[in-house]
Amino acid sequence: MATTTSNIDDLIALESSAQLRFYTLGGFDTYVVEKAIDNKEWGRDKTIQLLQFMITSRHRHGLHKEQIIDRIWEDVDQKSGDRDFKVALHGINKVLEPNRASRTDTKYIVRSGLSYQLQSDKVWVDSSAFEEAIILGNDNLHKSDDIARKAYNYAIQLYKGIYLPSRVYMDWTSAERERLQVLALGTYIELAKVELETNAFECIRLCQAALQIDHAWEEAYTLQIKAYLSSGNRPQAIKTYKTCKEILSDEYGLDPLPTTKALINNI
Amino acid sequence: MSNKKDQTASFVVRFTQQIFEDTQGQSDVQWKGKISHVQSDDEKRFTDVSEALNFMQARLADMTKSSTEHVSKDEQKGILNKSLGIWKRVSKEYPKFVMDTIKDPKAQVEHIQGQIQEGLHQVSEGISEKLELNEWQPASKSDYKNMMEMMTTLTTQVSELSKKVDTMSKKSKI
Repeated sequence: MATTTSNIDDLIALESSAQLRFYTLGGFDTYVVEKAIDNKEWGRDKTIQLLQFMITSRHRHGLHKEQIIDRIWEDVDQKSGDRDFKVALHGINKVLEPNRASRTDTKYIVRSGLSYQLQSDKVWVDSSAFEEAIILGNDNLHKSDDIARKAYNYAIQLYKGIYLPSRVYMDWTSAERERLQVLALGTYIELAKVELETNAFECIRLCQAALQIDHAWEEAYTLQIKAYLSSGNRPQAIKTYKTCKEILSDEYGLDPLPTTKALINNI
Repeated sequence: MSNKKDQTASFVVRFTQQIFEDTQGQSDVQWKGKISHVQSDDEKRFTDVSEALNFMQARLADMTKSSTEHVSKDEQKGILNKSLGIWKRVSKEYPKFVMDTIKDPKAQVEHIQGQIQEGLHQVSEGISEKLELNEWQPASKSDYKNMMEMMTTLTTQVSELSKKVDTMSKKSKI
């Protein structure tokens, strides 16, 4: 939900108590109360597209119907666009509010004139919870590492993959996908730093997860080298350095930073 | 006639800054970049912005080529030359743009900001917020470098917005 919580347990609890939940990271799933919505229930793919667009644009003020149609169905003429929009919106409302009496106001997608908006305070979206968990983690970092650790771990648990992977070629999802991926990378790295002193193996695992997102993320190699060295595994530290050097050379034509080199030179 | 989707190329550019100490203990900054073409998922990593521009140029040229497959080779060549004309302005304006930016970054950003906001206004998406420029401090040499890269991103945004405005103007004429 859009409510900002100051407590990680409250934030985690919101997920199970929400009436309507959207999972957008690594796939797309909707839960109405406790029921998972099967993709077939949406009917047409255009219905899902419209819902996903409303979720992506939920923090913007109401969008005009024509703007929405132009963004998601670029090639349709106005008449077909209007018809598709009407059918898709009806499809969404039917699934999200199956018991709503006809001619009564909708609860989740609210219309104001010709503008439409998803009521973000009435729904739970994984990407919002992911971001709030990171904020909580950052707020507690170095003050209360246990809370920071719990918050970052919850964020990572929510980040099951890129934002709306089935819409990767649609540019209205690109900015959000990039923003969330960079947040995820940062979270893996921050948590790996927290774990470095106390749990080297977890630090290594987190760095490897970050490298699965971006295999040229030098900081993930640096932390991994430090973790191997702290656990006494010098051969693996050297091997990781060599991989880092090779990847940076292939991708950017660069050498590792002097600070990364120094780790190995000091062995 | 190709559809609108075939006539659109979107790019996502990521810059990563790394501040570090060199072997003499002096602070230094390293920039790494990654540009992705949304419609094909192709990507290119770079340390020089011109590599990103080349990547964009190649994707746009591919787009023109695939849209003109049905015409004769000579005609295709002519269209392609005109299509590449978009970059002439970049090569002509870019050095001046960089020098202007180094000379007076604040004025240059205000100018770009004005263009962006004008574009945003025209597409009825008044969503931008003005940067608090008065809070800016005089820039250092490394700031100039950062600024130049930021300017490139802004130039791309302005160009994309101009495209949108053109498209909307064409639509309204129809």
